[in-house]
Amino acid sequence: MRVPPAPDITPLKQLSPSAYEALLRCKGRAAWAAHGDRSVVPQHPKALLGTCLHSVVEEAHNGTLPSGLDEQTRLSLARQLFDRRAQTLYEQAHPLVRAKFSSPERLPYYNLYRERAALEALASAQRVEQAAPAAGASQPARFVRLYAERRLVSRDGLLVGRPDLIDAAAQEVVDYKTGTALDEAVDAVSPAEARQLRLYVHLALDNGIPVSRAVVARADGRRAVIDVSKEEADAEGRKARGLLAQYNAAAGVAFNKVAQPSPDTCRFCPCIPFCEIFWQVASPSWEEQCGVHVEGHITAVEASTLQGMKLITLRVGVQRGTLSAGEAFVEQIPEAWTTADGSSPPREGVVVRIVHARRAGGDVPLVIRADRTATSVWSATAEAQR
Amino acid sequence: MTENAFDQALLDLPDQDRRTIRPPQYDGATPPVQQALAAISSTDVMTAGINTTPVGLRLNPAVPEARAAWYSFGFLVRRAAAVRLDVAEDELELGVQPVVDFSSPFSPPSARVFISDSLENGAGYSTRLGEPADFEELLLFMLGQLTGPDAARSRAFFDPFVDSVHERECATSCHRCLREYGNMAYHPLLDWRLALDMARLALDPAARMDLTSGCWAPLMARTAGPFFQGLNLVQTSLGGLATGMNASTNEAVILIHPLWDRDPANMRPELAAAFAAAERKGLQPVAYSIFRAVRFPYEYKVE
Repeated sequence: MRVPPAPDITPLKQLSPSAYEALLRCKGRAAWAAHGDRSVVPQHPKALLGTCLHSVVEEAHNGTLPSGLDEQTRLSLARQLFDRRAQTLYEQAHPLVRAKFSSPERLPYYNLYRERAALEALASAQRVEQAAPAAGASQPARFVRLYAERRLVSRDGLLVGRPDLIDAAAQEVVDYKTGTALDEAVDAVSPAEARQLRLYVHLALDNGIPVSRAVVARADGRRAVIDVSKEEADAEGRKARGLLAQYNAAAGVAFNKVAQPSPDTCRFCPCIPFCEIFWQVASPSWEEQCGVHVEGHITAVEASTLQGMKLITLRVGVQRGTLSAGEAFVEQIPEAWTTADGSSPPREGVVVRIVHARRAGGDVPLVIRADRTATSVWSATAEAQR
Repeated sequence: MTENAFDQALLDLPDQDRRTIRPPQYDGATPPVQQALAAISSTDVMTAGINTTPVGLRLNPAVPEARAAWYSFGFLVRRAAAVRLDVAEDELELGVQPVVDFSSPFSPPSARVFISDSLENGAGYSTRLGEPADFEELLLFMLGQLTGPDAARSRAFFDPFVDSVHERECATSCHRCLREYGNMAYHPLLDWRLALDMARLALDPAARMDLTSGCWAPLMARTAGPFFQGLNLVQTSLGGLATGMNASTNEAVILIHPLWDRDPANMRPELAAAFAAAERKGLQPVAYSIFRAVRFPYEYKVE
């Protein structure tokens, strides 16, 4: 696959909570979050499933699970919604995702996310029903209690957000988090989540919706709650506006000049394949925090066919990245992974970037293996010549 | 001999005996020589595997349930082949070979059974069995589904497995089904229900694999209650699966089919539903296979 171009730093009219969070880490990542072409870098499977979960819950908020049906039928309907959304997203996903997983159901955690989505949708539908006025009663706009996925813009127009749910009666904003592994400690609100929630509260208050509490609703049913005062929410809003102004002041500057790579910032960052400054500053001391990412010249390609699968092992003279310079073997990558975007398989002399991989064993010989969810291999000859 | 090899050999001895063994003197001037031992013979061989493991199943032979499934399947294939070819079972040798799915690095390996002729240079049995059409017929024969002239023999082979008396008396394997002198080393692993499931899976990747159908349902009905009771768990149902609740540890012990994957990344919809329901109730879900429940009824923790 060919390294995609980095996004341009163009002015942002409005800042969303996700772009704000990215901006706190790195202006380059914020540019990607705000207007990067998502189709050129493979999505993490959990991100796709998280989108499905949000869609199903949103549908439930909008009344797609009729109250007259029994619980099992409603759960079944929610599962169908999940399957349909997953199928659509899968068809639109980066070709590498489709090369790795032959159907949406084969995405890791598919069934667990699907069930969590169904249960969350059922709970959301019940919440909506409880908030609904009695049959025949009129409901003036000022008495609307639930706002699902409503786009909120601050009065000055600089901040924008779409909270999953605002319950005006309970004065709370709810944000659904898909969570990750089962054993993660997710009973508390993380600092990043708190920032996002304060921004939502700020947007709600700016739109005349009384909110003083924020809830993180985990997909496994756990809830974490924080109180947010108007002062805290406004302070977050001011900070976001300040960062937006700083970002816009950098408009027109090259991506590589504004990106701020560091071991923490670049952890799980989707920009690594095309972030030249990352490759310039990354060092072996980053490996533990940031993972395994290497760039180097291919000195040999060994092809084999095992059980009908074409595999390639690359011998790479590593020059940059989070492992020490020297010879490395990138073992047994399915050839289809390297040609998913239509490009040719890697060949001798080409500069490659292998990102989000795994190290096997010690330093000599240095052996790198692919991770089936995260690893991608990019041809970067042109980038290396710049 | 290297120090490493000596240390390894010591592990085979009891503690008190180890202390009495004097370590050997090594010749530091001679470099160690690495050798492999093998018995090589030339014969016919056939292999059979499951091309694509369905979502939610685990056929990794490193896992006891899956290893049991492969060996049980293999010995059932061998028995059926011996009946069809009218030869003795020991004229065919059986093994299980782990295989990696290279299309998906880091996904768990699967396996395939191989059957070879015992006779030096082969007798042609495995070659014949290895013909896809013949092997498919053999699978149908094992499941009592063969039609045509051999239909009665097929039923006569299959029916004793699912006969109500055998079904009730044999929770794992016995000498009426899979056990015989030649597979003594595998007796604790063998399971006739798993063997039949593997045959069904080999014929149809969409074959139903759960505890509510076929020969599993009555075993489940007999096992779940006493199993939960023996562990002082309160029996209930989560996502439609029999579950035992441990009030003191907040665990929900869910009984599952032996081939179901316990890994949350690859759960079947039924198990995912039970897990998600447990999470919603603030419980810690623990999946435990019926395979283990009948063999180790006084525990439910799996490493």
